[in-house]
Amino acid sequence: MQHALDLARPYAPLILALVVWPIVGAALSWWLWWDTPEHWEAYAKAHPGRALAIRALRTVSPHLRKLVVAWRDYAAARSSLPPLGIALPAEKTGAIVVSETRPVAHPTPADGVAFDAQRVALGAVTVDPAKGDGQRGSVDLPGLLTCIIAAILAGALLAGCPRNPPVSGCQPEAQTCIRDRPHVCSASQRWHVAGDRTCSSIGGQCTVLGGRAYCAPVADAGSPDASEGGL
Amino acid sequence: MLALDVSEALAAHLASLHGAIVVTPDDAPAVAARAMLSALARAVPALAGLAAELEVRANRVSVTVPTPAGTVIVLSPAAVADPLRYAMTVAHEMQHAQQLSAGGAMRTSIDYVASPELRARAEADAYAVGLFVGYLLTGMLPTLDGALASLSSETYHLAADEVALGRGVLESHLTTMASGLCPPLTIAVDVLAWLRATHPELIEAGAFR
Repeated sequence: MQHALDLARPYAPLILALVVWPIVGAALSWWLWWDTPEHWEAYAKAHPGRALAIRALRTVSPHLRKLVVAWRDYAAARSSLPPLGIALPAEKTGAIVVSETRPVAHPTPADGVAFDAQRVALGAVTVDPAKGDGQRGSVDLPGLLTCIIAAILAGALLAGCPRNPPVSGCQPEAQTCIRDRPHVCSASQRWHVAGDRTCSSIGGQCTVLGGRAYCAPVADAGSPDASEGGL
Repeated sequence: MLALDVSEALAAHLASLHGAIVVTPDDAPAVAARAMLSALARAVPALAGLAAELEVRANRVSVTVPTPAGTVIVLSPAAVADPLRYAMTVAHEMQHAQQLSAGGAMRTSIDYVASPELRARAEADAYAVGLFVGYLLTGMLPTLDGALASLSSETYHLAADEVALGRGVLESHLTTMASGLCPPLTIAVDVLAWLRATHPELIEAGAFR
């Protein structure tokens, strides 16, 4: 198990970006969905900032509800086709007649642009269709790219960037005092602090003696390192 | 003579100070986790080997886990086998809880997992706290051997260079202890203050009475 984790560790950013984020994003997109466009519009009007965040999330996440709707449309289209090998004109005509007798189904929010166009035609909304309706179904390419880049940067910051100290060019395994705290130089030539408090907080003073940095009692402290207090 | 109830009281005190939850092997969550692991191994034979390995590790490795409800410290059966080891292990894990609290759980976890150097440093600090508690309660100045053997073990997956960094950090702390000062570590300071206030007779290291 641990071996598998070690093997996967270098690919953590990729795994986060290609596996974890899509799953989390899809789950959030699925959850953040309103039953009717009216509910969504009311929410967006009341909380424009949150609505923007939700739309941005939907833009950069897999949208499984739309996939479900697409599948339903496909299934509906297939169910309205005549069975293979039967193409009798009379049956076709009859089918059309039957479909015309059916009540018009009310579109759902997931029907997207077609639904919105229908609403515009009915005078339900007064938005210029050329500009998009500011809700679902329209994608602003620069905005999408911005969101993707921001998501990648945020993912990289979260996943791949531990807070290592800066490379200082120190001699590996050397020790020194910096701001009254002992530091040890790593193989990558970074000063790593020993402890989480200053020496003065425990009644001492950071001291380098025999190449070793430590907290010494104030009275016994040797000559402080040149860097002490200077950084 | 250190008794188990004193170690438990120390654990409770540190947990309340740092908002951590200490789970011992007899606590319900630990029992439930072991039962689930056992059930999983029986239900999926392919996972039996993994479950057995996890069980072996769980018996001797204590862990500190950040959760939305707070930091949870799960003590292994080996850690609670005797009062001294209990106190040293709790102090070690509590130092990790302090690191999570000070640096932010998410960021500190990323640091620990993604940077072997930061992991080596974090573990060296935590081992130093454990060694200091052992020093206080036994009066015997610790050596690097045990802690270095642990740092070099499979548990932490550290290369020789990172173990060397950990050794440097441990050397610094041990030299501080040898000079008669508490190492500059929050949990070490907390343990010393608690022992002085509640059980000064248990402090065997003369410089710290």
